[in-house]
Amino acid sequence: MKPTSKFGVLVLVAPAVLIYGFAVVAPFVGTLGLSLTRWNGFNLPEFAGAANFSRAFHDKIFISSFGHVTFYIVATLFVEVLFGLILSGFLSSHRFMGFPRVALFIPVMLPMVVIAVLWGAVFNPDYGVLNAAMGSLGFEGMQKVWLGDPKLALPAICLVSGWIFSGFYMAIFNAAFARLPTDVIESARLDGAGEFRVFWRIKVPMIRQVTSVAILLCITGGIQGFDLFYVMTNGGPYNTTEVPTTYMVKSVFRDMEIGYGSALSVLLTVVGLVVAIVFRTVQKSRQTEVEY
Amino acid sequence: MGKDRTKQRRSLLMAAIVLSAAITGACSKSSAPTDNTLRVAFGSNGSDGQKVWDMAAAKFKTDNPGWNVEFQVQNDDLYETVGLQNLLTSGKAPDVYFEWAGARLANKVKDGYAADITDAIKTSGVADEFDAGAFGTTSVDGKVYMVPFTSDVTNVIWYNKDTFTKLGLTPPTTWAEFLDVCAKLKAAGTTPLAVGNKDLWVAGNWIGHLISRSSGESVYDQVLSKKMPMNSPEFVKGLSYLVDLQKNGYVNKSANTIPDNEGYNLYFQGGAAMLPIGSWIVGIALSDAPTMNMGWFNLPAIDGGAGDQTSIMGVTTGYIVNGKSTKQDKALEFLKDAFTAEMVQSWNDAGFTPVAKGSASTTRDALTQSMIDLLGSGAPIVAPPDTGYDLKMADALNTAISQVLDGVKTPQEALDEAQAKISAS
Repeated sequence: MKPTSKFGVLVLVAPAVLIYGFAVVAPFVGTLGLSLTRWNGFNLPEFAGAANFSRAFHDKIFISSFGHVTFYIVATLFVEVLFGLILSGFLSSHRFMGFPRVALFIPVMLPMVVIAVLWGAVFNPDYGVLNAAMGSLGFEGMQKVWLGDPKLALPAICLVSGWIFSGFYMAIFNAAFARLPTDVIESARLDGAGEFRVFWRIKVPMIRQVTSVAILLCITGGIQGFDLFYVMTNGGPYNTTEVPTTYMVKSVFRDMEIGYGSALSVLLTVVGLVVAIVFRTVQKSRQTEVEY
Repeated sequence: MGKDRTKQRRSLLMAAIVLSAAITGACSKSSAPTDNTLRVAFGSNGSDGQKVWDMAAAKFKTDNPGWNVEFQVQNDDLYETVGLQNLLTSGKAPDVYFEWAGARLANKVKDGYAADITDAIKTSGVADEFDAGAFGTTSVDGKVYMVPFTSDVTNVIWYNKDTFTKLGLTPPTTWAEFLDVCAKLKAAGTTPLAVGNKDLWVAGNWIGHLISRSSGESVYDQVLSKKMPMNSPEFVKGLSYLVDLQKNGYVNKSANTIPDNEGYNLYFQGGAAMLPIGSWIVGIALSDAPTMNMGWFNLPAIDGGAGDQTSIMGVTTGYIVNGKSTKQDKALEFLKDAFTAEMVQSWNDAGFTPVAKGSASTTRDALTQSMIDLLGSGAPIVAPPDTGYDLKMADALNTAISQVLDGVKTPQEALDEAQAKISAS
């Protein structure tokens, strides 16, 4: 049915536009405005021009936080996406794998804070399961202060992230593999291809679009990563696991520098947008395969 | 047809206006209340503490028919950070609110959120419930802005009396004796000190006190007030005392990875013989480790230290009457009701040690009483970095302390980095 009045259409879309405006546009514009001020939340904000942005570009902790989040994203591409893909390929080519699939997906359903607390206990150097297991197996020399060592804390968080989300990506890849036409796979098998070859040479290339989405989810999710870092290390030891989100929260809620924290959030948004745009551009330039 | 279209447009326009008004109305700030409700804000005092507040509210309501008391209670950490800030700027701002003396109180005075109650505490009778000197730490520039609630010792060293007795150890009085005790404990297979420093303030308070003993209270204050650089030689020297403990493995290796409560548990469960922490551990020990035989000693004297070697690290908390409140008289009346001699006993029973005088028959747990006696000993009181000074300064120092505690930086390197952080902010 064609709309009879432009005015009517405007009125009908108004609720959605208003809600979007108040929930997304207004906070973003407000944050942008606050990023140009000095404000402790009590007094009237003072206009500071680009001073907060200039400070952010010279803030070693903020800059290094992007290095940490990049490490996290790269590591999780392996331990979440790649491992999820391998798990999916392994489980889909074997019978009676229903229970492992459910078991691997369970961490996705648990609250992140609960997982972070539990893994914090696992890594606890005094009474944690990991050090205790190493001790009982005779590897006392390998017992570590896992979350207190600057070289180990970030990899430990990546490992926990992989434990949680590999099941999530496995489920996505399972759905993608289930949609594949069986005739191509059967033909490959008849031609003598083994399961390993069928997986890497036939199945994986055929779900390239799904893999791209999984990678994008992993990257954007990584940029937004907060809860695991906050609960497990809170950026420590000595800012070596600080990511932009934890530093932003400290600036606003601990240091009461709302203007500076807003500038950090604007920069984080810009970085996220740039990454997403670059990813989409690269993805489109390679979009030549048939989609399934 | 044209009339119908016009009518339809009008209806749609009205619907849009009503919807917009509803949304904007929901987002607008409510106006300041002019009701007979007194709003009181604080971080959670637990159920026992809340019962005492309820008693004070009941008395206030009896004395002031038609008035109500509304408590705005938040989680401690939330309250200390953004919670109080949000409450004060909200449409239902508290008339009375909890705060820490020191930099936080001074900031509230500067921002107009603390009423000058110098004269009002006398006319309202609030001052009668306190000793004459009680308002010293709650004053700014000679004017009283806060009714004191508690004075807490934030750092002494608690020890396991049974372990000390078993090994024939006595509480050390000098730093050399302290190192000797640590060495003997380690040789006996016991970790000397338990510290849960994930949130940085635990070692920050303890080593901050050590630095003040070494550098002197004046230098300590000037550095944390940004009047001297943090990498001053006096601070570097003070922090170097921590190296002795780190190099010899006298502190639990997990110190920087576990929160304060896990540090307490390590000590309670015998995983370490000593625990540097404040007076609040008494209440926690009573519930979590009631059979533990605990003693304490103040930070041992630093040989040649520039500070007073009997100093105490402590902080005063209290209640501020909101400078923007229109109910300041009623707020003081409520605070008087909360700190009468009878109420002080109720506060003690609930595990609090108010500064208010109380009655002659007031009874307290022996360890709690010993903490009160320590505060009343006349020794100079040093403010902790996190509640006595700007949080950014405290964070810079506390981070440096955590780096030295783990042995990843020398005191000079750690404090140079801290100073660079301060200069950049």
